[in-house]
Amino acid sequence: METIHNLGLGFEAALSAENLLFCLLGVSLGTFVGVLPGIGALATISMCLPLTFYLDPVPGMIMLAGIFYGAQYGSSTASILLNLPGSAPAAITCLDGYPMAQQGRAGVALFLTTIASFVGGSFSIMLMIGFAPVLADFAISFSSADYFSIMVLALVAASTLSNGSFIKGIAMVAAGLVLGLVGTDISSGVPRYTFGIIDISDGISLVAVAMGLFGVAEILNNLMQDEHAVVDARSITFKSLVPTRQDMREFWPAAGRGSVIGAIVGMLPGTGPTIATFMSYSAEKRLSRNPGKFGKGAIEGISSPEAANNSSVQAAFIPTLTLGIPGDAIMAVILGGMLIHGIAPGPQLIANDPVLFWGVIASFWIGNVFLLILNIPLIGIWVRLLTVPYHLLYPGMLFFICIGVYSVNNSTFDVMLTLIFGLIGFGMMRFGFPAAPLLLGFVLGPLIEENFRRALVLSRGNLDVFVSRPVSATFLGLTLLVLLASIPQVRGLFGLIAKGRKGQAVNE
Amino acid sequence: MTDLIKSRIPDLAACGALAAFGLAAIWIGSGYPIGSINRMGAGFFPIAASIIVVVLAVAAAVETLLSEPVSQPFKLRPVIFISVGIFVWARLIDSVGLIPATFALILLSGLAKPPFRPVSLIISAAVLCAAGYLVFM
Repeated sequence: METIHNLGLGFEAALSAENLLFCLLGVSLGTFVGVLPGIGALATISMCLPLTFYLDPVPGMIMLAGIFYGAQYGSSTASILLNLPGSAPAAITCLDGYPMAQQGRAGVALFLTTIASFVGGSFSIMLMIGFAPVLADFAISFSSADYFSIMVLALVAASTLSNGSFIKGIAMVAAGLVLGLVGTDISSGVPRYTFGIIDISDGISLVAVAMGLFGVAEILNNLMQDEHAVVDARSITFKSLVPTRQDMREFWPAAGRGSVIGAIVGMLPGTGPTIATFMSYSAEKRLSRNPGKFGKGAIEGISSPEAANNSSVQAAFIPTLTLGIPGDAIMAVILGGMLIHGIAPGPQLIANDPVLFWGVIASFWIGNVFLLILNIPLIGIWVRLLTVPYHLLYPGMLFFICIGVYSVNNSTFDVMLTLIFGLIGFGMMRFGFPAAPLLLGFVLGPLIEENFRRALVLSRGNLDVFVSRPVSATFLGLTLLVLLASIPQVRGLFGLIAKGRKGQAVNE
Repeated sequence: MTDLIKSRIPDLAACGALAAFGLAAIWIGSGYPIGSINRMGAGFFPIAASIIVVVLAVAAAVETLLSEPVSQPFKLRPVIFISVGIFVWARLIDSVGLIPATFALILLSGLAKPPFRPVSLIISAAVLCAAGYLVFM
């Protein structure tokens, strides 16, 4: 009963003209950047963050969230048509989506990925409605030690479970922590790493870091590559979207499994949509009676990961809103935006600000319906977008980055800082240092320090507090498990050392 | 042996830069009060995080030596024109305003990737100025 009342409250807020408009704006913008390879949801959300400062928190949050899940809908389009993922989680969709396009079934693939996205998104929204209040009630009793341990898990999981070197991932988390500590220390008032510069006495601007690492760096990286192939926009007709009955039979169970996997992965701290899509794809391949068809246009190969993708994105709001702990870099930016608005996400949020919490959830439903309309009847528009050449797009993106950063504080210093982080981020990309863990560490740095200090003040310096409390001990145990799970890599390293020695001996 | 290092100089330099960042953070951080375990000062946490940075930068360098070097295409031109474009925009925005700054940014960054299309760049700069003015100012 109470849930229905709360949802009523949420829909009342979300259905106001202003909120509907910003929801539509968010999901359209999300689809736009999702379709375009080379600009991701993260850069767009950071670009729009300054805009939301002029808005009330509710429409602001609705728009930022809309960009995030809207981008997941759009990102499969380029995967299918160009074999080029619009964003990282959609990389898996290339595997079976592009072969479908080559077989002339691009329309069916576009249609099914949209429906799968809707199924996955809806599943996690329902989960959120049922589960988030329960989790929040439980989390009220969490202590500083518990929060510290959950954040440690988030940071370790985010850096070890991503692709590439896990040493570099954790190194970037630690570097992010240090950057996050720049500014005045909240407990003692000591300015740290500020070099007397007033612009960073309150910390380095989150927008500047995010835009540099994910906006400027991404553009530079794209300019190193040659231009991608051009799509024939006329090939996607309305008729070509319709799937066969056999397609639908294969679709539903796969989309259902993908939704469940995505929801579980999305809720865990530190694991984002990319991991969800990889896990659901390998699960489908293992479950299938005919694994040979994967990579050749299997319906399950696009349905399950797309459902998992959207399911995990919606589920990622659960820990962010109820615990105040973001699961991945994009949620970290959204959390940073909420903090700037003066909203502290955490177990109290549902009780203190029910209109915001339920309004944002209600807007997810509305946004997903908008996305169905945007991505099925209007798919032709987005496909045509892929025909715009990159050399016309990137100067415009640079402009929005510059003006977006500048408008936060009217500070040219921040624009320069964005350029510096852009060059650093470009270097990081080239040498395999992932940027997402750095950003997560940057946002969590002050929070993790505060909880670590407070926990030890309360325990009078006794480190046992982190293992004697059940919640904290559980999460530290999980962290250890995640680290142990990467032991094959460690083993691989030892193997390489042995091989390297042998190779050396031969050379000598 | 020399080849082992020579082919990986850029990667090793990247690890070195990260280690230098960590060492600098430790050095500066050591100027802040460390405090004790039950009442930590401002220096405790930054130094701890920076030590992790240095240790892992060294580990990453070792890892680099053990893995195959990868070469990627690199062009200097985009890096220069994008940097100059943003730099000029930041210099001009306060002194001469949005419109000249934006035209400079669009035209300079447009040089980063051939073909250079001055007409379409000027049109897009005009449109962007209008959009930027409406949305942000």
